[in-house]
Amino acid sequence: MIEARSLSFKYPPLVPQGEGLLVLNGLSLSLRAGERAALMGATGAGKTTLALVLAGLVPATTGGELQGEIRVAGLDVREVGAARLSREVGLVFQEADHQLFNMTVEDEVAFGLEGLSLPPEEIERRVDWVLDRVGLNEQRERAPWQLSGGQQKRLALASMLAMEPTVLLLDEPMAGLDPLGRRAIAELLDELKEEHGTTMLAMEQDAEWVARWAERVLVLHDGRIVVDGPTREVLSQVDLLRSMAVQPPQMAEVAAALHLPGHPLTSTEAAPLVQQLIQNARLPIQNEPQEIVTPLAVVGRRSSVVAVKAEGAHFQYPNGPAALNGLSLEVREGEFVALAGPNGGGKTTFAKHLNGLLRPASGAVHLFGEPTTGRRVGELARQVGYVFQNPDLQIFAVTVRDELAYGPRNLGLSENEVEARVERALERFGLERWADAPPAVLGYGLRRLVSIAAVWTMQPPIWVLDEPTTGLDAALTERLVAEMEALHAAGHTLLLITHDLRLVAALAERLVIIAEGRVALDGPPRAVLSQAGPLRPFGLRPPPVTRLAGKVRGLPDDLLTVDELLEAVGRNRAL
Amino acid sequence: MLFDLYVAAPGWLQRLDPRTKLALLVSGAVLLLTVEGALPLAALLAALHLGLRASRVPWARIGWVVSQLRFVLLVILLLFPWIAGVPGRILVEVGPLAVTDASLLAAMETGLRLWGMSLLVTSLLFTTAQPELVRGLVALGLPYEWGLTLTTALRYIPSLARQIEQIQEAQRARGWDAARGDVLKRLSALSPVFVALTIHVFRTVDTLTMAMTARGVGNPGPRTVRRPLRMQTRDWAALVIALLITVLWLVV
Repeated sequence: MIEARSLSFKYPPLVPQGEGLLVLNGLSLSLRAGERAALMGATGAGKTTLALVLAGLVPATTGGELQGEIRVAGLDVREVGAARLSREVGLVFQEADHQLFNMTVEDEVAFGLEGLSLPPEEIERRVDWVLDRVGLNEQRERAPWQLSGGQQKRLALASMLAMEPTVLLLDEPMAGLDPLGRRAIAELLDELKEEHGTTMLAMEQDAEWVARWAERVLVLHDGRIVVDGPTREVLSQVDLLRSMAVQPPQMAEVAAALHLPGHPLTSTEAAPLVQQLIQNARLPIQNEPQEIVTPLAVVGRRSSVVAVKAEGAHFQYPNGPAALNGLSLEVREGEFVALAGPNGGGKTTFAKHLNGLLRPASGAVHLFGEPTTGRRVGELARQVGYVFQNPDLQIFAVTVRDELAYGPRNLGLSENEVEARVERALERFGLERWADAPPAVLGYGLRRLVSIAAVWTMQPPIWVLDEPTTGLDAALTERLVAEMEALHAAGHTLLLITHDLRLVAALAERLVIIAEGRVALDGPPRAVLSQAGPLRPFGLRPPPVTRLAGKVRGLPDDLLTVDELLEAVGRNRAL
Repeated sequence: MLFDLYVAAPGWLQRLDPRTKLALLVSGAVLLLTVEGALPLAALLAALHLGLRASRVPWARIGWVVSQLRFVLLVILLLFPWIAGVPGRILVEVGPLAVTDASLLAAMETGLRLWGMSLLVTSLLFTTAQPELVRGLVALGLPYEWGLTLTTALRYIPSLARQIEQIQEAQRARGWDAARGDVLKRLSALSPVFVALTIHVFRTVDTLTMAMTARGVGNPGPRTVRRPLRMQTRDWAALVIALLITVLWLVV
């Protein structure tokens, strides 16, 4: 169904006489009809480019040099062109927002069908059917941009499904969604695999989802498919995946470390194997939870200074429901706090209250004991640094150097000091090579680093990071984690907004769940994450390793990381 | 700011075919431009208000038009009489300039006409969803690509406004203070907004081109329409009434 042979693709150079970026380099790929495959690979490996090439959109709309042969759904892609191909190939783009260009949900779905010259009754029938299918019937009159991120993804998928494609390409279907949005898309894609026999190829970094959905996994590295095989086999090669910056499923890491047989990928599969391992050691099972040494020195370091204090903060957007509904929270100086919870629950709204981008309608927000009301944004920026969710909305300078100098200059620092800070930041974040390049043309991972370095040069005591790891591969995430740990160690107060509970478990000292404009749960990650019940209403689940621990007799229920699990099992065996 | 003026309610105007409404707009304009006298114009304007209200457009929305026009209307009422120079009974005289009762009435007429025309055009937007309006224009002969371009442009106005807001937020988060600094400094702060916006627009256009192509734009062969426009009895009735009134007025 998809047949690519010795594909090479080079983007056009960014500057005249420059060298274009070689993204695909002799790639070959073959997918049978009805197959359900996932393509993994590092940030910037070329996953999106490959999807666009398969849909005939690259190089047609971007320019660049394409070599090799591609046939999709029996059509020669390079010959027939993207418009003709759209009758057979559906492509759901990564950013749902930009692929929705109609005024209402139903017009969005009808758009492609009108292009297929279908009679009005058939269009109407398919619109009804597909909106029902993705659960957007209630929203049909609304504008696409008024929908939540998850609903937008479902609409983008619906407008492709309605055209009944034989091949469906999904570019990062899970990226940028909150847990509830992810679950809805995952359920939808699960159902799709049962019906139709559509050939599906998903470009995706989320190994936990890939493990459940795909029957075959391919890894793109250095412009080529370097690994290709059944899901279980590929995802179990933990070291190989990591060497290509692909994060393996957590259970595969456990299985590799404990030499479990049968390549388990989920906690349900791994639980009996771990149980057996413990029993084979012929030990009396210890039912009492054991004290585990925490990776971070949580206790004893709490400062008495309150860095952030919100008291009954209320806020409402014009024409919207209450975004903050009496939120109260106290964060000590030097604390590392993770904020999680459903999108639209108030996490970002709260964060914007810290640097005065928004002000509470009632209630108060204090920084180091002083209320934010009546203080200028410029003054607050000295205390609170904000790393935005989308680096592209934060980057506006002509060169990386200017970008990094913008903040400290606004703080009124001397030109010498500004320069010194910029140089230090360039070095620290490894950006020297790109110091004079426009940040906007850099790859996504580098743009993310620039957006963080631009806050770093301001040296704020309080940092807010809004979903900084979205779209980053394992290597870049590790880089970011190291950076956050360094900031924490240097005594900065960190507020990390994230949906990634693995990250929370490994890093944060405290987990606060914000929902409906209030603090819903608050405590150390060990306490909050070890109970599945209270998390469920927010669409959150404990990390796989915590779920595994809950299923194995003899292990404490509140293990948070693979290392903790290995230690607990090791101790059990050694006894 | 209001970007979408459409009032989604089952009013009689909302139910009419967009082409009928365009015809009503033309005949309304003919009346507004040919009727003379402040009183008849005021009556026409009152009828327009009542017609809109009967079509479930809230008073607040109807009043929005005049609130947008208030400065222009004020200027017309205050300045126009001095320069209109219509002979009549002199009310006020300053040097060579004089205001007569007839000039004052003429100023009122001009004000009412402007108000009426503005309300007429916005009433089309109040009662017609943007895609439907474009569909109407396409049905009247506008090329489909132009129609698509028009709807896309309309759809992206709010998105651009949001983008500008977000870029300015990012600047403020890094200590840029709008309240401080002179005009020059404030203007120079706009240049990064422009840079970021340009990048953003180029990215959006790229993705949009791809997204549209992926859904078959550029495919040869005719496009069908999900809800083809069909003239109903009420459309013909409205057309006949509007035509009768206009013709009667012009002839009598």
